[in-house]
Amino acid sequence: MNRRLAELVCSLGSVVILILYAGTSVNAQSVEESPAGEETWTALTPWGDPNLQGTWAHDSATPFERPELLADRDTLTDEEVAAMEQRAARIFDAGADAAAGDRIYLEALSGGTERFSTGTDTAGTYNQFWLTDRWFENRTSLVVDPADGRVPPLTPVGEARRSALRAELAAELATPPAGPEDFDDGLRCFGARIPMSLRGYNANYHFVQSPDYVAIHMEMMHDTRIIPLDGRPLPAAGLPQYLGDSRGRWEGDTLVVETTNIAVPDRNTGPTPEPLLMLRDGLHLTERFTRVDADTLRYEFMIDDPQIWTRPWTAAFIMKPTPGTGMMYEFACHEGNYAIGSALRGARAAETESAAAGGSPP
Amino acid sequence: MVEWINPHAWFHLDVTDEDGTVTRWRVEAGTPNALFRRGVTRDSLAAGTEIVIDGYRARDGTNTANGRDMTFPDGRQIFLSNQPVGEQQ
Repeated sequence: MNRRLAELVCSLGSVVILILYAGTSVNAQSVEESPAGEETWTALTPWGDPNLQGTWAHDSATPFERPELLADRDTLTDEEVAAMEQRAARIFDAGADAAAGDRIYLEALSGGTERFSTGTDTAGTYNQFWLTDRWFENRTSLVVDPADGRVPPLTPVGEARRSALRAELAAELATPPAGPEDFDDGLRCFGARIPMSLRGYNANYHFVQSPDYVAIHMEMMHDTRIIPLDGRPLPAAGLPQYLGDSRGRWEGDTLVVETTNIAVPDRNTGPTPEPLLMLRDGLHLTERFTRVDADTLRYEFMIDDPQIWTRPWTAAFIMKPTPGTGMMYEFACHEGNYAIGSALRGARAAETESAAAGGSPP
Repeated sequence: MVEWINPHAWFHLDVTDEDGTVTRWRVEAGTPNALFRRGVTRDSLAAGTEIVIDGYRARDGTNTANGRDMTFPDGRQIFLSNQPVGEQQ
């Protein structure tokens, strides 16, 4: 059973002081090191291509789909954005529970004034400090097509797929994990996924270009997309991979990337928007990258799966230079991933506790 | 000591009760990449610093916890606001 550590302290009948011994070794990651990105940005690379290079982050708080409350508003005024920022700062001040995905925006929009709480007292409830700060923009949805900011209606096949997905996720939540295979791909440190839809949690991307390639290193999960620009055709259907086979071309100032042979991860839940959980192997993904100005990279992806949705749809993410030190860091997820072992031990402990109490397994 | 490790950093602490009994705890924190961008390093808290941690103990009953809040014994907060660590007092 989960118990707050504070309760443990009380149960010991004393005021317990925790003494921290900080390591004394020199940290290889120094904030004094030079910041990421280019000190002087130029619109073109030395060989004349549009310059996307730098380290970019997607930390916008904008919700994936437009909230119903803003159904007739595709953008907010600067004053309204400022009010949202002030409300979010108040709701998520020191001591608030952490929020991911759309949650910060929706809480700020709700007009509430209380410090944010998930309403649960369970393991995994961070405070907001442990996560990356999110920023607010004028747009009210990441989905830009259809114009209503919402993913289009599902086909009957899509409806069935969504029902099955929801049933599967509910069953997973209700069933203690028996082994590592029962955890989603994120917890198991599987590789990165495309489209690059992370928001606010290690959502950093390092772009490096040459005349013939664009490489995009994705901090989570420590993968690099290598995109040829030399006009070679996309391969025929072959071995599906998480990052598929990509080919890029320049259309004006925009890098257009077509990707096939994508193996969509089985599960990677977290704050992933539901439409992105419904992508399927065989997806043909079209992405567009445009350097809007020195500090803005626009990233669009179009999803076209006529068996699932009644029409194609597009989302656009606005990336800014990676905050803080501006640098990419290794995200070697397996390095210290104690979560799987800890969660399995917890599940077995809960079963033992339940059996001792004469109850059925949870 | 701080285990500055992916995917999440860990704080290892000695907890002394009033009888002088010392037990070792390990407390999970956030991803080191995000913490580092906020200015937190493995050296942010000096050896011997007394802190109080509020968190969630592991279900298996071991001295393992998921950290939530850290404060100094006088109540001042650590790692709690949006201020860079160097500006927190």
